[in-house]
Amino acid sequence: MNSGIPIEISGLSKHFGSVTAVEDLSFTVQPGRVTGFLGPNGAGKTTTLRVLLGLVKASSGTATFGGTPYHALKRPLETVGAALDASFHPGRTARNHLKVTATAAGIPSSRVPIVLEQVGLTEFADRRVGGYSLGMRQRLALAFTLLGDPSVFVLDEPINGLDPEGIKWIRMFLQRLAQDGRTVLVSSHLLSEVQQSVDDVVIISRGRLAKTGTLSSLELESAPRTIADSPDRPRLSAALTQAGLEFTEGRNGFIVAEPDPGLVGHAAFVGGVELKSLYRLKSGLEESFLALVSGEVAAPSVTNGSDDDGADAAADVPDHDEPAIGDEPSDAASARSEAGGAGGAADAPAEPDTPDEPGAADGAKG
Amino acid sequence: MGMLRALGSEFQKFFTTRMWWLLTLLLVGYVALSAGGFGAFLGWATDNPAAAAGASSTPLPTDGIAVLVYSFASSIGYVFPVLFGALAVTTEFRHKTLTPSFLVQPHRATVLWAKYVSQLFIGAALGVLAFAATVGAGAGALAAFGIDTALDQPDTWALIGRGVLAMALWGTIGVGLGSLVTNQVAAIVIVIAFTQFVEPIVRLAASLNDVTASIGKFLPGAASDALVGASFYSVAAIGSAQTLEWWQGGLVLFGIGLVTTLIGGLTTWRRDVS
Repeated sequence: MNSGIPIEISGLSKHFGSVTAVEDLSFTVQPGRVTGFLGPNGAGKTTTLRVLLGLVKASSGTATFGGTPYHALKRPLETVGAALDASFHPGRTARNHLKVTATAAGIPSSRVPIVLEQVGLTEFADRRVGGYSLGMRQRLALAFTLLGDPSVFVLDEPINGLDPEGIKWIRMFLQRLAQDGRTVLVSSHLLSEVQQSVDDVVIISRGRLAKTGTLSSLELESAPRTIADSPDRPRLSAALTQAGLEFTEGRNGFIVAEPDPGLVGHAAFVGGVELKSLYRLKSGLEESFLALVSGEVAAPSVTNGSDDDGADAAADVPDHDEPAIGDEPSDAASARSEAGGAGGAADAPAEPDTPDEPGAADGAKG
Repeated sequence: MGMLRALGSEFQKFFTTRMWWLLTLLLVGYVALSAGGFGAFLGWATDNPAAAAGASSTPLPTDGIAVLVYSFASSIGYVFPVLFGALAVTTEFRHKTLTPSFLVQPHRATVLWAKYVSQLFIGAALGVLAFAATVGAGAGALAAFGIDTALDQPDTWALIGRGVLAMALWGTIGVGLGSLVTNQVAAIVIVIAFTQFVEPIVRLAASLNDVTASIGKFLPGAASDALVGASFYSVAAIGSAQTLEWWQGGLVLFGIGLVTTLIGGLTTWRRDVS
């Protein structure tokens, strides 16, 4: 099943009456990678996914799985696993929800206990879903996607409602799927929520494409700046002006529109100013992301930005010379290596590494 | 294949929540009590014609009483298959389960037809249970007063068979109604209000005049009674009680269910699911 089907969105527009939800959107999601579909609430993510899945009609343009629209897929559930809003009939048990689905899709019901186990819901399978927490419903929605062992996964905000354990679990889950060569598209309104799981990003804002590329390319977008401070700020100010550098004053010093701290240091040296601090400020991914979705260019707003913007950002980045993703390198790396190590299990795309973890993670509300 | 799978899935949906047995119990209890009670009243009335004369000036003939009692299954129980049909559709809207349903079966018409056909069967099954209840309770009550239960007559069983068919068709009308009125609360209110108040009053009013009576006989409840061949209303009705042929009544019910489902399938069912 892992033949590698890309998701292709081309010139997609959707209008609800006079409201434009999505406007001329085009991007491709490659197999074998986890792609984050990002944008603020109301940016058109869910609309795009619903058009892709044939639930909402496009006003124009196409959204296909390797050229085939969803409704034309011969066996949709065995091609695409989609989790949208985790809506289930509250009076039906998880097991029965999956059975109903398996019957309609012609999938043997023997898959039901397998996928329940994969998402860690076996223990709660015979409870009515009405008593489930949001996290448990999210897991059930993932079980739904796994039923047909598909090669494409489309997940709308799957992390929403999960606790930290669940988030760690789903990161591995997504990486495992991608390592099997599957196509994985995960939407989120928070970059920080998915930045440890995704390889690629597609960022939309107000229904339009803002950026598509690898996660690291997003990092490069943000122009780095230098923070310099002196016990004698007026003299530093004069020295920087003398050197022809643009800057603004923030709480932690001057934010200089110059990526090389050496040049800023040199300017201070020439002006004979003592420096208290001098370091390069590389914007975090989140900052680049926010800049993209707010429709601004990801560049330092030196001349017209408000004074405190840069300084606050500087204060928020503890490790000055590292991108935000570097803050937790060990976690992300270990998630990937664990996922890779267990990759031998051929048909099981994801299994919780600790079977009792879901139980600990999500108690039923009762 | 897709149709059969969808049909199987619809039956599973039906039996995996508690609604079905709660409503079925209610139906069986309701029609059994009504048939048993009415049968006992008629038995008492024929035994005590003098006392009963105060209540009813025209003494009821004892032949025809049995089928009248049995037909309570459909003449008052028909609201249940309509409710089931309407709930089968509106539940998907209410709990937003159209999303998974259409993900599994992107051909939406297949899902709706599966509901139509499954409710046809479910309505028939309800009919069998309801008639079992009315025959059981009604025949018991009649026999206790020495009235002929008519269970040895083929006509009685033909009536029961037509009653089961009526219940099945009412199930499809429920699907049609639910696909037109997708708001669950609104659909339930309409079912209850129409079957319990609006139609009985309109039928009664229509029967007062020959012209309106010829229109009134096409009302779904009237058509249903015509199909079954006996009804409490046909006895209780004042004035001229025009009825359709039994097969015409069946066609009217079938037509209402089919046309409303088709219209629903072409309108609400094709809308964006968000």
